[in-house]
Amino acid sequence: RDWRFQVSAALKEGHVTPTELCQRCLALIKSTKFLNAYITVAEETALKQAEESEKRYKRGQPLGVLDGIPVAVKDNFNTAGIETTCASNMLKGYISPYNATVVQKLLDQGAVLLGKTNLDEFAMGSGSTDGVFGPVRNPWSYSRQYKEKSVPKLRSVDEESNWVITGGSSGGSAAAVSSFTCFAALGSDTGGSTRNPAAHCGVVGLKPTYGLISRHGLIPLVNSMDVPGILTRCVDDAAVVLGLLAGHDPKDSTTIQDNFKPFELPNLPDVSKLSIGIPKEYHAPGLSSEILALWSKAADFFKNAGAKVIEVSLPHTRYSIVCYHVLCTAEVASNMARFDGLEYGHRSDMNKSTESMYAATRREGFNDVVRGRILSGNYFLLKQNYENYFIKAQKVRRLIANDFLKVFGSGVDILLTPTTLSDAVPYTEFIKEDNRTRSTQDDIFTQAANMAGLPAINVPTALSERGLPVGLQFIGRSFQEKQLLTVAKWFENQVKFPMIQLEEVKRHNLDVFQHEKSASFS
Amino acid sequence: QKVTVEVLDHLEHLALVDFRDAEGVERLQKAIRFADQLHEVNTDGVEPMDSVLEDRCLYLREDDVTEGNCTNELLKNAREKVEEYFVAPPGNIPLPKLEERETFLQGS
Repeated sequence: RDWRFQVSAALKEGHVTPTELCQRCLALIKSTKFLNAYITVAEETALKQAEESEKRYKRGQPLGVLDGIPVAVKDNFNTAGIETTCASNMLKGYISPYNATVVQKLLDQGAVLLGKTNLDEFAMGSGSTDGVFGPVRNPWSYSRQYKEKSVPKLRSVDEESNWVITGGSSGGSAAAVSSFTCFAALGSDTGGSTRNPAAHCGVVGLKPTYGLISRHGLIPLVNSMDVPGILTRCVDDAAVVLGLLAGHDPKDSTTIQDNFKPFELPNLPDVSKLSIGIPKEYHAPGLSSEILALWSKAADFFKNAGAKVIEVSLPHTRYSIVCYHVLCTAEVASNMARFDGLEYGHRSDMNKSTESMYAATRREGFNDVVRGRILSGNYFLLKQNYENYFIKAQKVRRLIANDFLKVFGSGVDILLTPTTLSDAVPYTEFIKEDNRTRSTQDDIFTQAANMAGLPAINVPTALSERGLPVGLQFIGRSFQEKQLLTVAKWFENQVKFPMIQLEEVKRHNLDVFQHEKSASFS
Repeated sequence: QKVTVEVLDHLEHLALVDFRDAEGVERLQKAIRFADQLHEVNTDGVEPMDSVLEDRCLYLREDDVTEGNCTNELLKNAREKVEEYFVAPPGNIPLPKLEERETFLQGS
């Protein structure tokens, strides 16, 4: 049984009311403010939404399973009447006049929007450390599990210096779900931005197939790769949210027109008829021995269940990150051009000319990372470089996508890979390298799925020796989310990932909503 | 192979974003060196890929106006406006040349 049904059932049966639930979550957000997961907490509107939900439950007419359920949204989705900043000075104070389609869909189902979560500025980064509101802290830094594994002499040192990152760029959303302040959160995924923080924060992070979920209202980074991401505490919940968000949107012409049918995952998933591929190139330098061992163990789980587990090859894997780097910066250069101070966002006082106003506005509004990518992108798009870099990268992209097609075409159903190179590193260590270097290293297992547009999911697998979450990734065929999530659910049941032991969660009575790993599933 | 000051200046004009300091310029140099690895891949006969959905047809919809009339909403977010106009400073004035504008590149 998934526990979202648990909380949903609790609401239906009146064990807890939507307003109580909302208040508890808001209180927990306050108690965990040090995590810096939220940029904006929409307390008033959330309570109003909860009240409306309560009225519906009293009438016996909830809108659906998500009615009254507190959710959070990454701050690069437009939310009407609520500030949308992208963690940038460029959009500080920007109040969107409309809701992103996915936000509207959640609200139409009665979900209670608690607030907007923190991220790397304009979703550029893999640590959630480079936004103007400061870095997000991984809730597991404060867990009993992590503290117990800390070297004794460090325990007496101020916890301040020991905390680990959430990963990114959807770190706020991952932290929000991980710390029980909400039951589901939206992230975005362009190169791994939903799966990476999901792995570090011990939550489920789903990247849907490109074209399945509307991007209307998601402030774009890379139009050909961005997707809204779903973060939850268990796979069943992710399936429910996916069911509510997927489908054609006339406002996003890159959504496919096929009819999408929401699905329920089987209670007792069966993987014995499946073929699981292990891409050998994902055994990358820098992969921690711990994760390597877990990956191997996972493969054994499938073997023992009767699945066919084979080694496969994705030969262009090592060029994937380079290719991504060129295409990403090129599209970013184009997408960031809209921020000129005229219609919305920050505007410089410089008044001499349009161009100088634009230049000053952008100088004042963007951080180093964003400016760096814009300049790189423009370089690759120069006439003298266009063929050699941009077109070249587009060709390599096809080779990468073809690698996957070949493997899936040869009878493999699902690929099993690591999500990250290691468990979360301390913030003080993470910032020793610059953003681009970090992104290059950290996106290595995740961004190929974005290049090929494939669905992929992080499933929390185990705790590392340091007491921090480690996840594994499953990559599926285009638009085969049902199969992907079925396998993910089966795996989730096998590993029985532990619940975070966080004092604040217990204090606010939200630990009652933990996912119960019943033995009857295995 | 270092990027010339002319190209750097050109990029600042195109992007309307500044390099700010030596680190910014070095960031670009590193990015180019990194991207150069692409040239190791043999892409003879390979078509560039614009979109993973290239096998599907783009579709049209009826040209029916279903939304709009939200001028006030949209103007709310602009800092400078007059009636229903966004106000921009004078156009057609190019960014000052390298020697005349405040840029890190001036010293190069």
